[in-house]
Amino acid sequence: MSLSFDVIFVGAGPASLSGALHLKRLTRVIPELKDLSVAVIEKAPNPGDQSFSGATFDPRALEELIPDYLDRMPPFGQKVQREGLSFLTKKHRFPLPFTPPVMSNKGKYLISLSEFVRWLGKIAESEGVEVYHGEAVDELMYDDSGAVNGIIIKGKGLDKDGNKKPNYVEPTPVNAKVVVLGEGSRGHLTKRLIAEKNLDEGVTPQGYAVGLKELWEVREDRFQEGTIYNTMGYPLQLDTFGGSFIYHVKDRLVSIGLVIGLDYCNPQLHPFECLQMLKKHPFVANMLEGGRFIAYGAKTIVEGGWYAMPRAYGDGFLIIGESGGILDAMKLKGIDHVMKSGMLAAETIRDALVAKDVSAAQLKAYEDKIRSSWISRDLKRARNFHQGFHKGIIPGMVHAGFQMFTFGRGLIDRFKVKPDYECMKMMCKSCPSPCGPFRPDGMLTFDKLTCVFGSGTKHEEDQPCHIKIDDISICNGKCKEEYGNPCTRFCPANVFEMIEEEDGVERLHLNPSNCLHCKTCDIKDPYGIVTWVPPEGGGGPNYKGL
Amino acid sequence: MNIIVCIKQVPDTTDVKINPQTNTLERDGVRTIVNPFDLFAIEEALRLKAAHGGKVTIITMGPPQAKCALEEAIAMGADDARLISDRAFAGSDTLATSYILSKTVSSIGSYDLILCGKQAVDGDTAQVGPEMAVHLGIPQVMFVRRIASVDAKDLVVERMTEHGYDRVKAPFPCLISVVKDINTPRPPSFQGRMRAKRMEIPVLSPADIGCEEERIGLDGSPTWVERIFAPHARSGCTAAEGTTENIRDVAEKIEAKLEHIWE
Repeated sequence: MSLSFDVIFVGAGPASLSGALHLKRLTRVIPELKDLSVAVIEKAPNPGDQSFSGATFDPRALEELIPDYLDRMPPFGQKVQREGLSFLTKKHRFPLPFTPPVMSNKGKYLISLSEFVRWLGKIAESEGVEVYHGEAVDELMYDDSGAVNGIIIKGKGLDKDGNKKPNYVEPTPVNAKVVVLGEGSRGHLTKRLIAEKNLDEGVTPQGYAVGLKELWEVREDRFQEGTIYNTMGYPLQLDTFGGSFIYHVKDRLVSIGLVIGLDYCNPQLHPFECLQMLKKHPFVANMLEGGRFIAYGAKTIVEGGWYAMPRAYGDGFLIIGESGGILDAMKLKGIDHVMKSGMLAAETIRDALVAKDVSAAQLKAYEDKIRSSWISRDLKRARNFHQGFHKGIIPGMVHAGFQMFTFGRGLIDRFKVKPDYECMKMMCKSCPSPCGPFRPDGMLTFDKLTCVFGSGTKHEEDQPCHIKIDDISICNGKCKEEYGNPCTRFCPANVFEMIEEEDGVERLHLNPSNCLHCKTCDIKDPYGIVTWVPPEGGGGPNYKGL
Repeated sequence: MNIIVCIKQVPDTTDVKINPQTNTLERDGVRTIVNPFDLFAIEEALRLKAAHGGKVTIITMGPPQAKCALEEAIAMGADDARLISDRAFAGSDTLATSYILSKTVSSIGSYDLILCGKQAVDGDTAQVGPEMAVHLGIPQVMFVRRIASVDAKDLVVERMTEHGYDRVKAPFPCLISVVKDINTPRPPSFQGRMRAKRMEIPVLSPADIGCEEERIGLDGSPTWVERIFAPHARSGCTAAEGTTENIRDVAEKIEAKLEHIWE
């Protein structure tokens, strides 16, 4: 039986769901496209399980998509009432007198992205979008001319060594006229497609950040509903781009997150421990005192911005959302932008299906639509923001200041940048661990595994490892000497571990079942030898309220 | 061979928390799954169908969202499904539930075999299967770990006991419940999921299956749950050390500890 849909969206995040819903609505009124079959395929076991963000949410794209959204009980928390940007030293906090208007989030909703995606998915399904969960897309299919014409769903039931188990299910090819990639940050299909089709020719290498977040339930008297704080400085050193966010969402729930630019150079940097140290800062510790840790998660964020966006169209495919590099790096916001990109893709696809032409020439309209939408206005304004911080916080602030008054142009328009994995310096005495030795106290700070448990991540244990390392001898030899195995630190889930074996030699061991699907390893490993591929469908984190 | 599989949607036990104040299950946001033991029943039905032909029909009783459990079974490869859902069924205990299921089975028509998981992981009673067989007046074999052979008129199975297993021959139609040793359930396939998504699953009310009103729901249930409570959480363990000389002291220590726990 050959399976097919008219349009397939890969990944059920805000971009794909908005795109699929918009497409269904647009085509409903066109007689020949009335019964268009639109599928969204997602590896998470349930809707929203693997959607993860801060998040403050600007409903402007939602207003366009579902004008009566407020009547449909969206899972929104408070609107942001008060906000504060401050600089932290180890013991003190220096509030900035004002928040630059371009960074302000006042009036935006505080939401949990996983709840929002669950809500949006229900609406999409009720209007005829077919959303499939628990199925990972392993590969793209091409026709003889090289145009994308479908996907292959990953099989299930292989054991660790790749042998078929008794419940083996074969990979399933599924055809589509148009495949839309909305995999999120560092999508594995997108990564391969960009390389195969040279979609990043002439663009700046994509830059990423990793965001780690804990959800806490705090004491009534410490809860400040609708208040958000952003901090810079401690526990990060001045040479590292990053900062924290603390959102008082609703029902005494507080999100505490730390975002670190993956262009950092210190191989000793340990993002997870930095987050733990942040919680020990008196300002944060006071907020959390007597509270309860609920959940934890991590994801990478595309921050390269306007100059790093790959060509997002080609024969038979479009790339939307974070996969397409869409995110406002200055505000660190993108849910509204990615939703809009999905909707613009939907409009492009409708026109292409009406014209019965899904070639690159026809789908190029998507790029033009992005360029003339408010996405481009925001992204252009932030086009040099992330790159300006490459040399650290202080030069970054200077650059950001100039950019603010020149609508993004700044002192240097279009920085020369290296891909993140080339930025790491080798181990030396002058790069001590920025946080110092860390010991969890079990009340305020925890070890990594306790937190990983709070992500709800779960995988079939007996399956081939989904983190592929080209040459593990580099990890056990060269990397150990040159960088001290930074994967054991930058992985937020303890997937990489150096274990001393019987012969007294430490070797790299992988715990793929811990994986949070953030893909930091794929981005940051200094030799570029780690490739992340999706595990069996249904595996991965189970985020609730994150 | 026409096979009917009875399944139940249960809260994901890895996810369940008990509210310490009210002693009730916190159901908010708790995920539901197909009762794990029922997956073995579905798998066995699919294997029997593959070997002997016929049709696999899945039935469940529950709230409207129990449809998801049926969809999962369809995605695994079952042919047909019925959802028994109505407010009048709410509060049914095992007796009422087994009555409702048996009426449903009768309303579906002829069948050769009814398969169940050995018990549901939320209630853990293991009563509904056997009671159904009594309502239907058919033979029952519980805790089956293997189906040894199938003939035109009967089948031979291995039934787990505390000491080993019995080989039992039962004539069709009959009801068997299965344990986890019987097979490895297959995961749902993508084709299956597509079929499940596009399939209309009939929803049955008391009138559809022709059951007597006073035998269902709270009225039809002679048992009820008075109280649910969580056992005290304990952590840490102590190793009792000693030699044959002071064995009495060690035994007393263990006894004291046990008394403390039972309190």
